[in-house]
Amino acid sequence: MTLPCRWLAAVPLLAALPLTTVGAQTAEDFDESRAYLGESPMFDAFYPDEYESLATLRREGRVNDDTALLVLNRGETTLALLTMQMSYHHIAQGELAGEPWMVSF
Amino acid sequence: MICNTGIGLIPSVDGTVHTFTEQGLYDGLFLMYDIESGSHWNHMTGEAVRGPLRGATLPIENVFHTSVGQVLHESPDAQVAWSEHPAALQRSGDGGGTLRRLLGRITGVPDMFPATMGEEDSRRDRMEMGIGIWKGDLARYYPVPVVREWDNIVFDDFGGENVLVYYDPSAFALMAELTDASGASWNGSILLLSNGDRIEDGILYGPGGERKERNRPLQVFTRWYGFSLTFPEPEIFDRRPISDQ
Repeated sequence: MTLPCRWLAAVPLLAALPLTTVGAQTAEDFDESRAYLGESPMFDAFYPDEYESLATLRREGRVNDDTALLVLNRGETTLALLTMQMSYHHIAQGELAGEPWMVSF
Repeated sequence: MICNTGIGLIPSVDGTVHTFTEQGLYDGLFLMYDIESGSHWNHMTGEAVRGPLRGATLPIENVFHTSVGQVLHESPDAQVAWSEHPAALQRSGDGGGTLRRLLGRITGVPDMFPATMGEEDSRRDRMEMGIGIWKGDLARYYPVPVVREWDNIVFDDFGGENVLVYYDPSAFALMAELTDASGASWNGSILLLSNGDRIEDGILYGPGGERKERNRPLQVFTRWYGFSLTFPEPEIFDRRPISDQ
């Protein structure tokens, strides 16, 4: 019997994978000799203190349906950042519903 | 940004919010720097790797790559942090920019990156995109080309949990989700799961059409070099469909 690929995807595959992983790098592994440590930021981080409605931005044409976003969910609130804008800032940080948040990219 | 790694972090140390900037480069990934302590931080693990707070960690959380259309379906009241910085506005002109446009601009690492990088893992191409998931010491990478061979649907056992990795056509990105379903198929752009759930426009619905809570492992939709240098020797999901072997 030939099964479609999409259902074969359900076959457990763990046995085919190696089981030895070492976890994430830690501070103990940090090799300062190959780190570039600038004396000042190369880019300006983004510290917004107010937010706008995504629906409004869409109506105004500042974004379209395919615009790339980075999205953070905090309780019932969804906060979006434009991926292209974050490709400059790299870090955005603020407060939402009284709680601090930060996105790195 | 070159590695496309988006991470959420709680910028609070012992209850005090610190102010972070990008400052430095290591393993081809930028280092974060907090102004209050003068420490450098790994932005994917949230650990301080240098300075007075070395060894401290910030809680991390998922940040998802997706699109305006998908978010407006899922959260019509979504908020945006919109930057008016001239350099940011220049990049987000012409409607904000798609992920394909961003990824297409990047074909390799800048000249200053290799000197900061440890020994690279040659099992995959440096700039290949995929989704990396991790839990404790377990880290696994699902390359885009491999997931594509599985009709953009992969089920896997991840540390005893059943994980679904799929390409979300509304987000233009791979996603990982824990589920009790054991199979799935596409009906157009709707992903139908064997447990009666479905994922449509990036939203998970139960069999009765009700929205369901998501259960997502820590994940990054990123390039191979960034994931494999941060999580050395990660497992790779590289099985091909049986029909292709």
